[in-house]
Amino acid sequence: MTDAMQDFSRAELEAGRAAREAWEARAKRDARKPESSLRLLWTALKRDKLAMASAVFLLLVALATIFAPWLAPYGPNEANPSLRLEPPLTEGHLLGLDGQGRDILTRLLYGGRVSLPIALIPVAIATFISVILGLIAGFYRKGVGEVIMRVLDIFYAFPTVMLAIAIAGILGPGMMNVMLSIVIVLIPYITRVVYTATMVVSEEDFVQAARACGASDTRIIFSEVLPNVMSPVIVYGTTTMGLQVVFAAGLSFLGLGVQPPIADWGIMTASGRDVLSVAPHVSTIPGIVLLLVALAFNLVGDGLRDALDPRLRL
Amino acid sequence: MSEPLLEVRDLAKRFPIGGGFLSRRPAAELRAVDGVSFSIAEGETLGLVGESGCGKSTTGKMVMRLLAPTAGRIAYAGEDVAGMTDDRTRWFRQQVQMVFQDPFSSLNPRKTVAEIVGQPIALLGEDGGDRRRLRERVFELLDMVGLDPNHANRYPHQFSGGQRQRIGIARALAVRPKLIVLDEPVSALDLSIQAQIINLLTDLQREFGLSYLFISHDLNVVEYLSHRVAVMYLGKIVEAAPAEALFRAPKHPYTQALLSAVLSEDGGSAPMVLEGEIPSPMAVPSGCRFRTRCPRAEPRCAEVEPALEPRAATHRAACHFPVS
Repeated sequence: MTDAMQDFSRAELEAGRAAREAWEARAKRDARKPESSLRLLWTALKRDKLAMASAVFLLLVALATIFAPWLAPYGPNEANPSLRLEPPLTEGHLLGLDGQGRDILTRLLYGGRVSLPIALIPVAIATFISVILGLIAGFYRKGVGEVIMRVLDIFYAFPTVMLAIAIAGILGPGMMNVMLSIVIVLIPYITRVVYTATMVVSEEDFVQAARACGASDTRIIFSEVLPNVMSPVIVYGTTTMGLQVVFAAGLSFLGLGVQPPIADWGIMTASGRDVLSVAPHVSTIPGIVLLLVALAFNLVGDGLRDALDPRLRL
Repeated sequence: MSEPLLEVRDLAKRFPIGGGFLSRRPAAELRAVDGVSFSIAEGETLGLVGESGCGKSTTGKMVMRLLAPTAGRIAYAGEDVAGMTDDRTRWFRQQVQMVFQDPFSSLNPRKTVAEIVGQPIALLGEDGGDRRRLRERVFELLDMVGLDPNHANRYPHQFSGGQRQRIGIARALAVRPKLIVLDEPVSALDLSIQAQIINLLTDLQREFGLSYLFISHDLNVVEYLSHRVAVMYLGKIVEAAPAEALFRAPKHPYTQALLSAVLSEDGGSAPMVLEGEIPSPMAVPSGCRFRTRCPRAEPRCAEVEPALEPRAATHRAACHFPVS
């Protein structure tokens, strides 16, 4: 009685086979591959020159920091006191030297190894947690969802920076604690993005259609809803990465993050504060790098937003 | 008379309105469906007509078990669906499928046509795991609904509204159901495309002996496709009859008004215009729920609710003063 597929009549199987053969013949002829979403995304993204340039820039920055030990002309803490505060384009020191006579280019390269992961890893972790929380909250809006969102509302009540400073202050300075505070600060925001998207998608008829086929909640959440909420999450995550790089640097600047003498873009900016009038390059150069990286993340995020918009795809 | 395939008795759905996070008691109650009974025989199409908000879609969702009824009984092939075990539910889902109104919302934009049409087979079919067979069945289904199987790997946004509705129909047919709930399947489509889809539905019915619960607000479409028609007003069926009898000689003033609005195009009798708006389902009028807009209403209509009683052999209407 339950066999939907067993009772194929011979004629039906023949029809199916004929249809498949016709399809395969035609498929061979026009060699059409199924267009994957990733391929469509790439086609759309390629058109956005600014986003592409930003992505290339970020890739170069990432590669440069990864290969810092091979690229950097000096050691990160190697000091040459006789040349302290010398401006950029000094012989052998392209971007000049800081207050302790350390090469700024070298420290920028090494600094990226702290400043980038300290921002990007928390964003990735927070996104993962938020996607799960947001999916559950958006799908089971009454009950569990209500509890999740109300708890997150409490976090919303605090200004982001204050909350992060408070958390980092309580936990004490250090790289791990900065990352943890960024995760905690980000979760309410990303969760809300996922929650809203999930709410909209859950109302769509294809969710009902899946239910009418006896799909379980878990299957509906992960196979029907999740692929449709990823676009806003990817866009939000990418855009916020730039902000978090600045934010993590800001915590270091305030002395709550990584501690000197470790190179970090925030610490470098902070260290030039006292000599801003005599040697402005010490602070401004890492500041400009921060700015460019943050801007690039934003532009990539914007590009992804446009590329992921199905109305622009065809 | 054989046993009906689907039998619905006194089905009701009431939604609590208001009542927040802490207060458990709802502020009001919306009576979307308020005691509806009908049956569908094998191979038969029952048209369920009414204005938007009259509860026809809610009724369809309850039949599909996408919504739990507040009261009433739904029996499929004589078996109460509420008491079904998981195993029987799986069987029921294979027997009863649905086509949705909005061809854009009903197909997951992230899935290929093959994945969409194959989903019911993968979830409900015995052979869900056999990929080659699944693929053949999908191609066969696409062919059956008039789509090029060559397009199986495309995404929904690459199709027109009419083609998308065909995909929805292919999905509904995938597990060889006996009953299909058609929730306004053509109202989102152009007129010329509507005709194509309706012809497709009639052909499929003839070929596979399907039963349809056809939900629509469009009387022309209903007349064309239905064997019997039930007219709903504010959560209740006010008239039920074989399509031909109902369209020729409506007994209920509401049906009469609906029909006159359609037929006036032919230059026949002047349209009978109903006064006022459909009342809120949160405050259903006493007695006959149509009395506030009924040209024939009398004091008695406010006191006693008319029952859905036979006016002819197979013609039932809920009215104290039926049109003769």
